[in-house]
Formats: sequence, structure tokens, C-alpha cells
Amino acid sequence: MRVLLVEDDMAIVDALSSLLQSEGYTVVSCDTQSDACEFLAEQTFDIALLDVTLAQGTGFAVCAAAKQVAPDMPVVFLTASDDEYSTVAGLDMGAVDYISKPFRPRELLSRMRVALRRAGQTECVFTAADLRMDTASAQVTKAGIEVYLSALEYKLLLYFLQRKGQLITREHLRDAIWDTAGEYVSDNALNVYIKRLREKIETDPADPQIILTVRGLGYKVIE
Amino acid sequence: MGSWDSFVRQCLALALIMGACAGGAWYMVSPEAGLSCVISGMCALGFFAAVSLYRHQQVSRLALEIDEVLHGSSRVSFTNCHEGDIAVLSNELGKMVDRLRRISEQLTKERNALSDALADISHQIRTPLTAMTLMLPQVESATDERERKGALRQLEVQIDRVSWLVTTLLKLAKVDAGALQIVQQPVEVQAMIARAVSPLATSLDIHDIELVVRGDSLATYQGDVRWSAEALENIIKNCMEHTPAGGTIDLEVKADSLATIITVHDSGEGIAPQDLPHLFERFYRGERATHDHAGFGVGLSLAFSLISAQGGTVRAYNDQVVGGACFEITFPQMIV
Repeated sequence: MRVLLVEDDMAIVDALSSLLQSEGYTVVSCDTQSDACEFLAEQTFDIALLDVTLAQGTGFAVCAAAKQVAPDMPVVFLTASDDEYSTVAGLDMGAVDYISKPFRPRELLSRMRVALRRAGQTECVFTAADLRMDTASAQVTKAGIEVYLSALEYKLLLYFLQRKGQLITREHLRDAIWDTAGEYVSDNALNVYIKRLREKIETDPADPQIILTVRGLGYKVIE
Repeated sequence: MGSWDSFVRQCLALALIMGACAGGAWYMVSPEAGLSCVISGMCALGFFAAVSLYRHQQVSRLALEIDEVLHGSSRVSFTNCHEGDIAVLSNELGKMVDRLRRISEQLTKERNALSDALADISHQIRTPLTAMTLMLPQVESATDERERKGALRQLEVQIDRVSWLVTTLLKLAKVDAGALQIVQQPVEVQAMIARAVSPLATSLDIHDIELVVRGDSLATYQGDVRWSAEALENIIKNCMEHTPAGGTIDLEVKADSLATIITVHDSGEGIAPQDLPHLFERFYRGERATHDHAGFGVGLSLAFSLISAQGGTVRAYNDQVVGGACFEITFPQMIV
């Protein structure tokens, strides 16, 4: 996935680029409207992250240019304040979302994924055995029957299903929960949540087939 | 003195006119007529001089009083003159000085409040910043990964706190300055509640607190859905922090022709009586501000400001029947 990042604060550009790269994105960054428009004309991107206030030009102008060149590419604005005017203007211009600084890094990643899903760039539906999760409708079914999950359980399941086959440590899970809810949960609490999730999605919770325990290390979801 | 000069000029002019009339009368009618003209002229001049001097005296006194006000003495009330025009002028001046005095007092009050607020704010931010600075060496000196992660996590918590503080203070400042864009439109209560609760869903889960919404599901009111949701979110968050695990937060919606009322009721230990009158004050953290409830005291203050800015009111009280804290948000159906 290629990301165009238009932001004039160097500290943010460095940190955000590293983060995005570690998530598997290719990042092209610039700090002015003119550079951004050049890149848009020359290269293709899957998603654009635009800072509203730039030293030269504005994020809005870049958005307009992006919509001309690649109307289906999702645009997410990074705004410095909760300025209602900017955000409404931004959404009117066709941006798919905005996030205001300061933001938690994984919050941004999550919103980018949502934006890409909506644009049809990534999968909406995740499956594992007879479990099916449709993020477009936020519906989870097991063997065709709908399963009702709490907000936390839904987020955990999505996290698991996006990383099928990978080892997921408890630390990963705690970080994920921190990023969405701002809470660090204890080991005990985490056990309880996983147990509750298993009770809902596993045919036999005592012998989990979907979310497997990797002794001493964490969990893994079957491919 | 300018006014003296003009007075002398006016007298001379009058004397000249009277002289001309007297002369004309002397020659055209008779010497007696001329003489009576001179006498009446002199009387007129005398009367004119007296009235002018009196008026001049009133005006100078008024000017002196204005001068005193300008030089800082604020305890001057204007003399009640009897002379018609001057009395009117004096009254108007009195009113103007009163108004200016009130404005000046208001500005001084606001300036003091602002500098107090700035002092408070820098103090509030300084505390987590100090904590963060102290945590850095812990991160550097950590011997194993787990310890390092733990120290970093604590750092993250502090960063989060400062972010929250800065963002909330900015909003409060905007509300205070009247710079927040507030739309007044029909708001569906159900939709607004959903918007307020959505960011808290996971936290409520983690704290094992059940949120129940009941009452009139079709209720509406005039307001701004975005800021209402934010205010309600802050209130619910506050309730969440004071409700033990396994508890409930109950939202009841009532609507009638007078007002739409949303009552938030938690199953916690309630609000301490000494905290009740100060609950919505900026930076007030309550007598029992412990390590656990380490807030900044701005969430409820913001909620109060946002609700007030939409023409609504919010009040807090303890439920007398089953205990727990209650927050009653009222949006009147029309401005009376």
C-alpha cells in the first residue's frame, strides 16, 4: 500500500513514516502543496494523509488536486485543532475522514484501514473456520448464525482475524486495547476477555479451534 | 481664557446693537426714546452678563468634575444643576461615566480571571510534564525489556493525560471566548446518546459497567448534536470513574412541552456533599481526589460550559432513594 503523507512538521513526518513503514506501507512524504501536487500527478497512491495547515499552501488544495487525479483514492485530513469549520469543509471536499492532533498512532492506523476498506482497497470480510466477520456491516456470524459481541470483544476478534497465522502476544493485545480505549488491562482481565470471546465464537470453548493458545507466548489464529 | 474672550465679544456685540438701536431711536423718534433705549439696553446687557456668567460657572464646574473622573477619581456624581440644558447634559454625563466605570470593572475582572486561569493551566500541565521528565531516566536505566516497557507505558499514560488536558482547555477557552461554532438545530436524543457512548463502549466493557438507556426514544430538543454528545460523554466518563465494577449507569430520557431532560444516574458511592457546589468548577478535583481518580477537574467543567452554550442547564445531586450520583441535563423546548 502506498501512502502520500503531506505534513510540514518534521518530527511528525519522521515518526509517522517509521510507524507506517513498520505496518507494511510505502510512504512518500512532502511538506508543501506544490510538491504534493507534483507527486500526485506523477505517481499513484492508495491513500493520502494531508495536514490541513501547511507552511506553503493548504491541505484543502492538495485534496482538490487529489480528487481530480484520483477520485477514488481516500483522503484523510490531519487537523491541528478540533476546528469544526476545517473538518466540515474537509469532509465536504470529499475527504473520507479526519483525525485531530494529538492522536494515538494506532488510532490513525485503524482509521486508515477503515478508509481503505470503504474504498474497496482491503478486505471487509474476515473468515476463520465457520466464523465470518463482515466489517462493513459490523456483523459476526458463526455457522451462519449471528453472534453478538460487546465492543471490546469485537475489537479483539478483529485484531485477531487481521493477523491470521501470526503469533499475537499478550503485550500486543494490551497495546491494541490501550490504543482504542486508553486503558491498560491486567493479565487476569485479558484472560477473562479471551475466555468470554471463546465462549461466543468457539464450537467448544474448552478446546479452541479458532483462537489457539501458544503456550507461554500468546495466541494464534488458524489460517 | 477663551470663554472669557468670547463672553467679552458677545457683550460688546450686544452693546453695539443696543447702541445702534438707541442712536436710531434718538434721531428718528426723540431723545427720550433714545434714552429709554439706552437704559433698557444696559438692563439687557446686565441681564445677559449675569446669565452668561452663571452658565459659565455651571459649565466650568461640570468640566472640573469631568476632569476629576478622568484623573482617576471614580467616586464622583454629577451635581444636580437647576439650569435646564446644563442639567440635561449633567445627567447624560453621569450616565456615561457610570457605564464606563462598569465596563472598566468588568474588564479588570476578566483580565484577573484570565491571568488566574493561565497560572492554573501552567501549573496543571507542569505536574504531568515533571512526572514525564522523571520517568525518562527510568526508561533509560531499565535492565530488562519488561521493565522498560512498563516505564514507557507509564510515560504514555502521562502523555495521554497532557493531551487530554490541552485539548479540553482549548475547547473551554473557545467556549469562553464565544468562538465555538454552535448550531441550534433539532437533535434526536437517541442519536446523540449513541454518539456520546460509542467512544466509551470498550472502556465500559473493561470496567464491567452496564449502560442502560430508557425513556422517550423519540425525544428531540434544539441544540448542537456534536457538543451535546461531547458534554454527555464527559459526564458518563466521570460516572464511569466513580462506579465500581459490576455497576450500572442509567440514562433516562423524559420529554414534555416544557423541556427535554436527560438524567444520568450511576451506581457509585455518590458525590460528597462538600463537593456538590463546586463540581463544575474548573480544576476542582474534589476532596477525595485520590490516585485512582486522578483527573484534572476539567471534564465536568467542559460539559457544563458546552451545555450552557446551547441554552441548556445541568445539575448534579445524589439520589436519595438508591444512592449514586445523578446528573440532570435540561434543554428547554423554547426560550421563554
